[in-house]
Amino acid sequence: MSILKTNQIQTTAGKPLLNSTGSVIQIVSSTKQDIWSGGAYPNWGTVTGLSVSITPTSSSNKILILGQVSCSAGYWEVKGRLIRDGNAIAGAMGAPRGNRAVATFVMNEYDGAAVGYGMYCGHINYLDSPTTTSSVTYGVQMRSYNASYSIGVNYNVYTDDNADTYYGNGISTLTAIEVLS
Amino acid sequence: MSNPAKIIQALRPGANYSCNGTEYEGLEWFEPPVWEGGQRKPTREEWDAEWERQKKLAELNSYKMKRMLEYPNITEYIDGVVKGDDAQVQAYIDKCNAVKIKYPRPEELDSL
Repeated sequence: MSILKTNQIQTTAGKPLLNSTGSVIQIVSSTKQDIWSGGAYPNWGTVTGLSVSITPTSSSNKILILGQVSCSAGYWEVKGRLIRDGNAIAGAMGAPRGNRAVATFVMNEYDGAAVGYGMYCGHINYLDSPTTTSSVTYGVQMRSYNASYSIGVNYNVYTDDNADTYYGNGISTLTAIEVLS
Repeated sequence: MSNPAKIIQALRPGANYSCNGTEYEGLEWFEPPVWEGGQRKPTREEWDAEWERQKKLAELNSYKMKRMLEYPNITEYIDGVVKGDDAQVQAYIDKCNAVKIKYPRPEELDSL
């Protein structure tokens, strides 16, 4: 067993191969398989078990957040937003317009049928600049369309697990990738 | 295994809560105190009773899905109307009624 130590590896053209801008420094990931519910309007509910903590090695490095949230609404619409240390990230949400709420992803559908509201998959793909070398925690918050209904994560709140064999449950994931800047 | 969203929706609509998993143990309650206008956290007994009601409700409502899966295609009706074929329209209606008779709406639904 031998150990090779060097400051840098370059291509024949002199371009750094390791530790160059854009290199991946570390990856942390979270997968949520069980279900969650909450986030009845006007409250933003933090999804339990869907968070990642990462400590950037340099304050100038970026954190690429990738995620998917399998979710459903009891009524009309689903909103989700990316949070850092419990707070919404302004740059990861839409620009304010009138009275509309802003979020990272919004899904709105009404199928018009007597039964059934759909499940959705909210996607997150955001390059964050936390400008710190302290641990930061990313998570997801959800909010429903009105106060009478909740959001369901990984399952369809409209259906009944015990009674229906027609519907499925999904998973939700959140991944943080530190990228050298 | 329960459906927390449906239980809270029925017991405390609009409440600020979070429930991880399907059981009462996963329920976190973020409502302000009752004397400040908040809603009281449901007890386990309320939770269990509501879930039993929900299961019964789902079972009784299963006739809707069974009907939906066996209803004839709506295009049969439209096609009959377009062609002015009263017999085809009536055949569609008869098929629908046969499905309704096959899967009647439980009267017990009115009392839940």
